[in-house]
Amino acid sequence: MVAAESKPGGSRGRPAPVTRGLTLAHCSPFVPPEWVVAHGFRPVWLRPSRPAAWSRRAVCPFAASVLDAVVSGSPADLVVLTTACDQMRHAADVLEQRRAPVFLLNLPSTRQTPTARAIYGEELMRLGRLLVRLGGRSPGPGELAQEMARFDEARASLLAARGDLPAAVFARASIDVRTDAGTRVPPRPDPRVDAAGPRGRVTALALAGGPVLDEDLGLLEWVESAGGRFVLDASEWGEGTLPRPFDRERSDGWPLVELVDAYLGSIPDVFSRPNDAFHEYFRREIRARDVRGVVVLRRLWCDLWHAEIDRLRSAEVPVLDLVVDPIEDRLSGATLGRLEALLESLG
Amino acid sequence: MSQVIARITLDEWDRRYEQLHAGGLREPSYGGPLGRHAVAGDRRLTKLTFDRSTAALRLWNFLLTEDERLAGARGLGVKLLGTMKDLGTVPVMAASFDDVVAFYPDGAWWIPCLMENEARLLEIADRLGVDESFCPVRAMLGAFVNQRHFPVPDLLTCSVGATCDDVSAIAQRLAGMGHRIAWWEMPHRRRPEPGEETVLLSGGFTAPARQVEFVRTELHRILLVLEEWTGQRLADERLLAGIVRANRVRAVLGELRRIVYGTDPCPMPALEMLVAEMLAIHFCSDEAESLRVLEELLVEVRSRVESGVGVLPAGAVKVFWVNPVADLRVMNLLEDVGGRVCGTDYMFCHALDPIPEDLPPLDALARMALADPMVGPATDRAERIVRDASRSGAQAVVLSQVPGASHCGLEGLVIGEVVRARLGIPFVEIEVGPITDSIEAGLRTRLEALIETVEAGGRP
Repeated sequence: MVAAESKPGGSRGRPAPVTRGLTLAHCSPFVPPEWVVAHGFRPVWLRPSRPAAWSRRAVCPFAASVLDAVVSGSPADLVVLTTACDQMRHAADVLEQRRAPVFLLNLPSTRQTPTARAIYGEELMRLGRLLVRLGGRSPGPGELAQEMARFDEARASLLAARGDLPAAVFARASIDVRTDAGTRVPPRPDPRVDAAGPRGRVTALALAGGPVLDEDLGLLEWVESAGGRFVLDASEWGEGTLPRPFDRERSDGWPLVELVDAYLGSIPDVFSRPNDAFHEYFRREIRARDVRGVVVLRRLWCDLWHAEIDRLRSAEVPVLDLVVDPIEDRLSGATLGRLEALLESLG
Repeated sequence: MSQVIARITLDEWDRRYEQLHAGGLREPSYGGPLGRHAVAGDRRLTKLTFDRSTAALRLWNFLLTEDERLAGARGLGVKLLGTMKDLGTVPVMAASFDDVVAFYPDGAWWIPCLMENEARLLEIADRLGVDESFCPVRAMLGAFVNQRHFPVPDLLTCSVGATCDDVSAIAQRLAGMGHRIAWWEMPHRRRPEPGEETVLLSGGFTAPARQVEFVRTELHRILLVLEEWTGQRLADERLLAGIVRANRVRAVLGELRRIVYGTDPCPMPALEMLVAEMLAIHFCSDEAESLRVLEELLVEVRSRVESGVGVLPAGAVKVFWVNPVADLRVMNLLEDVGGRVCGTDYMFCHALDPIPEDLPPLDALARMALADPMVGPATDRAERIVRDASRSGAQAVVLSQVPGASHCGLEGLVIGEVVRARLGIPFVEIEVGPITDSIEAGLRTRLEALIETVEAGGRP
């Protein structure tokens, strides 16, 4: 988009020196940090707070909060949004209209066709070219593979520690590991993890739905202090949307091909069409982790998660559908009452 | 002063029909008095006013008998293809096969309006968890469940990617219910990068050649699905012949729009023109007949223009209308308060533009699909609206929001900003649900204020 491309930088010959501190802000699991870092940018995860100025009827509060965050002062040298949903696609329009430095990455809804992979791969290359023009660099030989290995290792470490971490801590770490390969697995800070609930038992839960923002973390903490324990985070920014481990041989030989395959081909995403892979993943993990109840946290006006609630219920465990209203306090009495009822009914 | 042919009510039409019938009116097989549709459940017709021509009678009867036509086709062994969220692309392919009829299940979004919610389709959708936070297209889900409004198609196609979330989400539910869907990718149309090979599309849009190639590949994939499904091979010559036929429909509709929207006094009401435009998307399940229906309307309109008669007084305020209305009554309302439609963007302008006939057919269809105003940046759509509204001499622009639609909230904002800045004419947004009776006074006031503002020569 025009505003983003107007910044000069880079060169066609020798790799240009990277300007210190170039940042790329985004909030999509489909923007590979390996790719961003290899191009000399530092990824920053957009974690906007509740919307104010952009709240508007039929506008997803998350999209509105992204607009708030970017319009009130761009959080990075470049903001990347994706076409995963119509609301974010049009949020990019609004940002472009305001000459914010935005890049809209065409993320195919169909995932398994050669066309979809070609679109995604070429979009990554288009993003790469823009990053170079903005002052980044083209990855040298082996550089992308090296970044892939670093992030792969960080993700593996986090997933290995997953069972020890409270949900809120894990949710934060799941974001950190998407921006910084040096992320250390957080210590196990909270004895509540093993604490039993009021009835002396811990109830295994799964989390699903849209992005979990900082202001949602209190809700997760409250559930775990009341005897629930989130053993699966299948929400949009959760563990389910981390890519599969890379094949080292392919990473070394054809890193971009492996990157595309791991991201587009392995992430079970509710937005894809068809989205059977997501539901298969969800049911499989529900069984494997002995989940007894599901909490869905979704934004008002998010059709794509909303329409899936019934199908999530087919996983044969109770599903609590919590609609996050930007006006309503996350920890309102009604919300806590519903969560309490879920935990009680699961005994 | 020019003669005004006033719109008439349903009762008036039925009395007129008796006279015409007694006078030897010749009609197609689906003809008959309009009142029968209201008796059968389309009660909204009793709240509408209609053009009094026999051409309009034929148009309405054609529209309101589509379900019977589909059922008849199925009885004859014709294959039924439901083309979801595809405004005018796959139907052209389907119409090129023998014994295949394509229809537009999303069109069920008008059923709650036409039947004044008597069909309870929205309640069925509610029960399935698809509530009013979705746009009225959720009626489609109800129609698939109760199976009373169209036969369940043998195969569905659905365009996804840069399309609205409402249809995508509901289509996924249909897939979950066991309906077979062939999905195809419609990438977000982006602006070409400097130095990138570029293709000029209809509507003044451009796209990278690579994106055209992607869409062509997707359409080829769908073509193979259809070939396997029908057991027929669709060679380029047959597909080109199908494109030529579709272009004939578009040409007649184009001429109709040119005359109606560009003539004062207005020779055809906005409501009938809305229905006529919809025929371009999927031909209302009968391509040849949709052409005849449009040709008859064109004859009527030409005759009126030659005689200097119109359906509204000369000098009605010229309004460019953006997005289709879920409640048809609102088109009457605009004319009741002194406005007239002088141009439209009902979200499918690309389906009105001619499809190139000098290109390989799939390439031509790909270009047409990518010219969809809804798949590109909202600023592109806004620019086309500015161009078309300016060319039509619009004095105001009305953007009709579709309640709950994923694209409306932010897209309307962008379009409003561009239109206000570029055209300097009044722009208003209204929200139109399937039944507007309870808010009609408010809608009327807003439209009246718009018209009065224009007449006073100012901006709101």
